[in-house]
Amino acid sequence: MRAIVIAFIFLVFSSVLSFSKDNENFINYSKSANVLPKGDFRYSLFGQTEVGLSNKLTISAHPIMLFVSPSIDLKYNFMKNEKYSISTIHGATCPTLLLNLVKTKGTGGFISPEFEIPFMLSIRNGIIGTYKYAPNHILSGSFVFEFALFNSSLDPGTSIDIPLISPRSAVYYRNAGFDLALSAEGKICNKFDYAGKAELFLFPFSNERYNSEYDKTTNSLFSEFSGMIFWNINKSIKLGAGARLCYGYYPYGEQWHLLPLLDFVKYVGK
Amino acid sequence: MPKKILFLLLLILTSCDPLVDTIPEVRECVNFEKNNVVSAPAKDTISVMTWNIRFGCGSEILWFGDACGSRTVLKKSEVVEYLDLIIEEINTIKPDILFLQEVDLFSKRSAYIDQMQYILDRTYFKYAIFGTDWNIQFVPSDGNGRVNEGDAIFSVWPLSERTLYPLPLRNDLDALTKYFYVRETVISCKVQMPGGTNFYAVNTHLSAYSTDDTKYRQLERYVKICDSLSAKGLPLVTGGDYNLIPPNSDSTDYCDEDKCTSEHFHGAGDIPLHKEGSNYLPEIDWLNLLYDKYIPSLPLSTYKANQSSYFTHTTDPNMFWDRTLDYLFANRPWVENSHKAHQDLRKHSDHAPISALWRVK
Repeated sequence: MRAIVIAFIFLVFSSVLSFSKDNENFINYSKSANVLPKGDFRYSLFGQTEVGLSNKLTISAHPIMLFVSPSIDLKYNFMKNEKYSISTIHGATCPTLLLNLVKTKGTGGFISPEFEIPFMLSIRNGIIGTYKYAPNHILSGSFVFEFALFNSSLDPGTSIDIPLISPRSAVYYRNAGFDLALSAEGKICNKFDYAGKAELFLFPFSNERYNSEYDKTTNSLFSEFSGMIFWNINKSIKLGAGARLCYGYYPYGEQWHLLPLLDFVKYVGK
Repeated sequence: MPKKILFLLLLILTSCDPLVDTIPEVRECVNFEKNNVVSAPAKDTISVMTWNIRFGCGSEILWFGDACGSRTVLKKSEVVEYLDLIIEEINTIKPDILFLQEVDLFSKRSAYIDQMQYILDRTYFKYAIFGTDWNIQFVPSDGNGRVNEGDAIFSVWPLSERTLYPLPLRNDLDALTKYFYVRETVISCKVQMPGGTNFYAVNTHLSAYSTDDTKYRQLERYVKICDSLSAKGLPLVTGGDYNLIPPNSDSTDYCDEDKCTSEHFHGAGDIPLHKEGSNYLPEIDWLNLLYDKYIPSLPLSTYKANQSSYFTHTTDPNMFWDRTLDYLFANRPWVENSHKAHQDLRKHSDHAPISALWRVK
């Protein structure tokens, strides 16, 4: 185990030092301020598919989830030079159909059928900046404000209080919140890339209906820390594995979870 | 296949702690204690009570699991209302030792209330133990979500040797359901009465819906636990919700009383012929395991003479109690005629509490 850790550290540092120029086949996995050239697109299993609409604008959505939980994001790049890139993010999600799908009797019933799920939307706007600190290595930071619409009749009893889902659905119970993320990714060597991300979900606003049912501080803070290693199968596709450490302040108390991560990225360019 | 995929997804989602606490081995119970307390004075005769409190659901809420209902997740105001009613009666009856079944700790269905602490804070009890029998991070069925339900012993005297024993699982379930299903348990402790006689207290809740020999296997294990504690030479008091009727009961089949509107039983083509947990005939003599070895607070002859006065359970909130499922036993005699089924407490739970006076010395 110790040998593996030492070998891993050596691999990371040697790759950082040895790569002196941009590698053309480096494919982004994490969200960044960079936009795809017009007509190019990139997709992965768990992430959204991103399509370049113009050299300044991309649209992203998940090709499968789009049909059960429509969610679309636009990214507009308004500043870019050799080192920095800054974009704005604007998106909307409608979770109603998905929540109704898991609101059922028997196995698969994540939500009790006794509840009504109203038509709801969440709208988010934010800013993301990317800094290239070395060739093939980037750092990105984002700040997103999200708020919910038409959620006033949503019953607190419908909440699905488990990691990954809670931070992404808390906005409907607490009206609004912030999503702050910091990510780093780059090449380890020609065949391997790394990606790491720390994300903080804050929901500081009160929702009387939710507070009357559960402690008012619950579902107000979540964080996720993930790290992945990717194997570049070829110039356009890479496979990744890693782990995500999740923390949350749930209605039953604070809890940590360590989850495995598996994903791939496929880049299709002109 | 979709069930297996769902199961694997949930396993991944909750992989830091086990998704299900399968309670594979004997372990220590969770201890609760008030700060800066002084133990109550010793007594020669003590009051003992047992009550299945139905996780603060009362009797009028039609919960999906046991009352042909459509409710799964209760509101905080509902749970608090019923818990307060239960606490009021506990403070009135004032037992020295209290056995509770179906107590929830941070369960979604009961608004994530820590019911042990809630009861301890509002009663005169100073010491308590909790032993889980159903502890799952997320039950992906009917909106149950997180569940931690168990049995408890409350006491006015300090408790030691706090032990949780797992009982055999139901064998009449498919593997997936069995994995997520309740693992019934026995909890025991040594009650240390300062200047008085120390004794053992044992509480259990047996399977409600098994259709095979599960309850018999659970009873055998439970009696063995009582025997091993009793063999230490100290007095022992035990009780709980056995989900079995007395061996000399006149009525043994409650399928008609328990059936939901759309259900039909006892007909030529009815499959199953009986409702799960409502036909006691095949298991009618199983409780003799206890009656043969321990002294009941309610002798069978007393019960036989006036059965309805001792009924403690019904599944229909609009009906009066129609069967006896809750018991107290001991290895020392009870005060004659002190057994009481508190049948006036109809709103509080789907079980009535029973209490009796026990000569510990």
